Amino acid sequence: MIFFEVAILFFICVTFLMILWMFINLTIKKVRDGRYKKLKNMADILIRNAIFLEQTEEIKLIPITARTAKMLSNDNFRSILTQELLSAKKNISGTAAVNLENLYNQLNLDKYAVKRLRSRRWHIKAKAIQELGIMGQKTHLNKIYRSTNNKNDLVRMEAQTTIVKLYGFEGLRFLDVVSYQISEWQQIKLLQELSRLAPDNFSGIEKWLNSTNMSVIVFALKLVRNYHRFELYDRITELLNHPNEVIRLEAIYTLEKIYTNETSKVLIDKYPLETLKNQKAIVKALQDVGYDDDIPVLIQFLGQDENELKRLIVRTIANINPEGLTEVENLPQSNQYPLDQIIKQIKGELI
Amino acid sequence: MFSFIVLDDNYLTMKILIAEDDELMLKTLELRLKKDGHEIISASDGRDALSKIEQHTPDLVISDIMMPYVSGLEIVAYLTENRQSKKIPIIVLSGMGQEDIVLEAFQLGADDFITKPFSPSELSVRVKRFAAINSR
Amino acid sequence: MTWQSILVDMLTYVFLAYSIVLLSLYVFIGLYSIGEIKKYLFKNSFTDYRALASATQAPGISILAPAYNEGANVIENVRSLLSIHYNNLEVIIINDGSKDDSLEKLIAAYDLYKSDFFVNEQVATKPVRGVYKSRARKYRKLIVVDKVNGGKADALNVGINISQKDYIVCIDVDCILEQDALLKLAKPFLENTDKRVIATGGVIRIANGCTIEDGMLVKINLPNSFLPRMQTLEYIRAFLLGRMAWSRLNGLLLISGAFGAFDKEIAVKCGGYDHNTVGEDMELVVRMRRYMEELKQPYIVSFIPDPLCWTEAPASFKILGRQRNRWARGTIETLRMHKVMFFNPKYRLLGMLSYPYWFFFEYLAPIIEFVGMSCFIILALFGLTNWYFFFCLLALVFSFGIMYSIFAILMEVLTYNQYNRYRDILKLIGTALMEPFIFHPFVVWSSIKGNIDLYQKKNSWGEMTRQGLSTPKKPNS
Repeated sequence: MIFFEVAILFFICVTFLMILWMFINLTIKKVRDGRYKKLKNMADILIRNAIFLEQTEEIKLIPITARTAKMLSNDNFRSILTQELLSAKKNISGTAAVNLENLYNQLNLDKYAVKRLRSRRWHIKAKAIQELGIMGQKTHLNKIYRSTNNKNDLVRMEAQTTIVKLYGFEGLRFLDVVSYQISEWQQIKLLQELSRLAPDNFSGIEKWLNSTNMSVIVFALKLVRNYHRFELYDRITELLNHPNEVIRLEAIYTLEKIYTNETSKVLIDKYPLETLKNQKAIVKALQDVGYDDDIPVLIQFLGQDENELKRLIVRTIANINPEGLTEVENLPQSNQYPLDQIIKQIKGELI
Repeated sequence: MFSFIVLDDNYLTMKILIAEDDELMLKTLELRLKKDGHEIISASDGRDALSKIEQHTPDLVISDIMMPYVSGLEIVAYLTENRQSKKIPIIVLSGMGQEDIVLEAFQLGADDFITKPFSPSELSVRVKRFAAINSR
Repeated sequence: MTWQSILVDMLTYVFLAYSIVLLSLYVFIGLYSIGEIKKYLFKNSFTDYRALASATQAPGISILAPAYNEGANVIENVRSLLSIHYNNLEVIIINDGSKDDSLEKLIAAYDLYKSDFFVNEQVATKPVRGVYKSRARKYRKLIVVDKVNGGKADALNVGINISQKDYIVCIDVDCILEQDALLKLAKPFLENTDKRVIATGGVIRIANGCTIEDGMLVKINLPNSFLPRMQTLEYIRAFLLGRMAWSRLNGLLLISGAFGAFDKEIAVKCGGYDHNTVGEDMELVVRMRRYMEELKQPYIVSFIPDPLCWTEAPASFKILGRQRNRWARGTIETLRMHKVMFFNPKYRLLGMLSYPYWFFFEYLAPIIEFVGMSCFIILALFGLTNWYFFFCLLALVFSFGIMYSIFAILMEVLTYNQYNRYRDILKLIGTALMEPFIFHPFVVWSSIKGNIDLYQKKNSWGEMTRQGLSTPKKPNS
């Protein structure tokens, strides 16, 4: 029985300790929240002063009150200020943005970030990288560049994004060496980063298209279509024979954007060999790249059982030439399910 | 329904409603445009913006697209639907890489867009253009 | 030693052993979840989800919201779904043969017309009466389907057939979503490079007592009434500790039917929702996992600990009892349909850990608790065991239960801290103290009744599915 009594006592003690912890934590948070508003306000005034500062020859420094200067040694204030600076920098460009960077450097906030860059804890390191990137701190290139192949995925992703943020297309050279797969999410982020820059005839895509890292090939294909690199057309058509299904799919999407008048023939040739998913992609691509001559072949493709694919094929025919629909209607099975309903839907879409 | 105070030949002021959920950004835009002499009404989310539009009938609306409760797109649609004698023009603020959304905004009836990050001075210039158009 | 005392001893030890295993598992789950929550929160602190809302590369999502006699609030609810920031989205409202004027109201409010739409019947369903779209450009994401009544599973299957995107998000139409809920739910599908993410689940929180305006959550409050507050605690415990730990093990079996995302291709290949069970949400996840295991393809069922979706909880014992009764039946039915996996090494973690855990500690727990308690009371009444021992055992289990609940509240305070007033936290602690005496016995009893009902109605499946959506109608405050 003593076992029970000891165990019960233990549970009760732990419960009380946890309740105590809860209330201490709650109190700390309340105190911090109370101060937060005041500190944030101070930080915001400082930042707004920087934004509206008229740059002249003699005044390079942003005026800082003695009180604010004193506050800078307060960790809490510094972290709020950094946070606010980052969010302002994300929204503002031009001379005002340069002022924000100057303020950041003037207050030595970069020094603190660099210190955190050396941290062993991944989230601190990743956040420091992100901060340096947003604040345009190019002096720490080497450290950040080395992290583009870090074994922690978040550190790696932030480093890659930051390099691209700071160096534009030039920064993409980490793709030459990256050995980890680049997730779809990360690709979206990288492309978004690049979309801020003026298109540039950057080099390297040929190399990336031959990478042994599948995700690098996929990313390179996205670059080709976003930046209309028509000169790589032949290489892309070769990738339609790649053993990896995803790469073939991306190649189809890419050809849709850089097509010539031969493209529809190339895609139709590949159609019988492809997986269902890629067949759907080919049919969708033909909406843009197909010609009247392709309609008879497309009608032949209707002789399969997948209804979704059937609908896509009819839609593509209608998009290439609405007259094509009459040919579909002349088919013997056009009065039966599912083709009758598909035709109805597509007709409705044309109006 | 437009009320202007003409300061000089090409310098006109308007009543502008700014809807933006980032507090610092809202305040920054407000200060920048006030410097140009405009009267500013600020709203910190979409719902707030809609009710203030009804209340104050501004001459121009500047709205972020992604806001809590009611998005900028809905504000655009609202202005297009509820036009009285003349539609209130709207400038939308979008994040980077949001071409599709900007396209959507134009289709719903937006008049101009600015991509973040942008410079406050650029916004000021665009607003002046609207003021000039409206005064004619 | 008489045979009675041997029997009593055996019973005692079996019951004790079961309790100890259960308590140890809870300790493990509690501690194991901490690391995962921490990692998620760190990651969250520098992720900008907005990037996904408008990216051309973002995955296509269809929201499937079945509605049955929701006329009172349907317009507001749909409006709030349409205000979600996500570009590559379609919102499919499935009117499951409502007897009220839901459809007429929707047609009028959203300027709908009946369009010719080919319904690709990948999953067999009750007939579709019509597919409606809006004439207004700003509602172009909206599709309303009118169908013959067939229950929630059937309605969701119609949604799957209509959907033209790659991912489906199933929600209860009266749920209130957080602004970035969809973005957070979609992200895991893009994150994994070596394993396929087949489903993502979100956290459900209780909306009773919260301030809601125009279908949007304006202020979070702790429910004032007794039952919803009990459930608030229960949900915090289940989502923050239980599911987080299971998701870390990649052994999650349940994604709440109120808010979850699925890879449509896999869902269709598995045959969609099964309308033969009242636990269609759990059953689908189990079937999808089983499908992937059998194909030997690497996969993940992901889970997001952020509170994403707020729902009205049953506020009366009658409705709550019905809900728990149904949950119990759903669990049993699901376990029975997939019994081949029980301790089957072919299904790896799923067969060796997840399934047995559900069998022993989700399905059997109320039964063992009920039987054990009854036995002890009877034995004690006959003087075969002493009351002191009985109360010690009871106190042990209760004090542990309370400690576990307090731990969950502590985790909530340390992480999301949504009920941040001292008074609210005190109320939650009070709730934790009361739960074992009032709420818990009721839940156990409801689930025992579910077992009995299932046993009695075993041969009349059809009766249950024709009651419309399986969620009992919740009062809207």
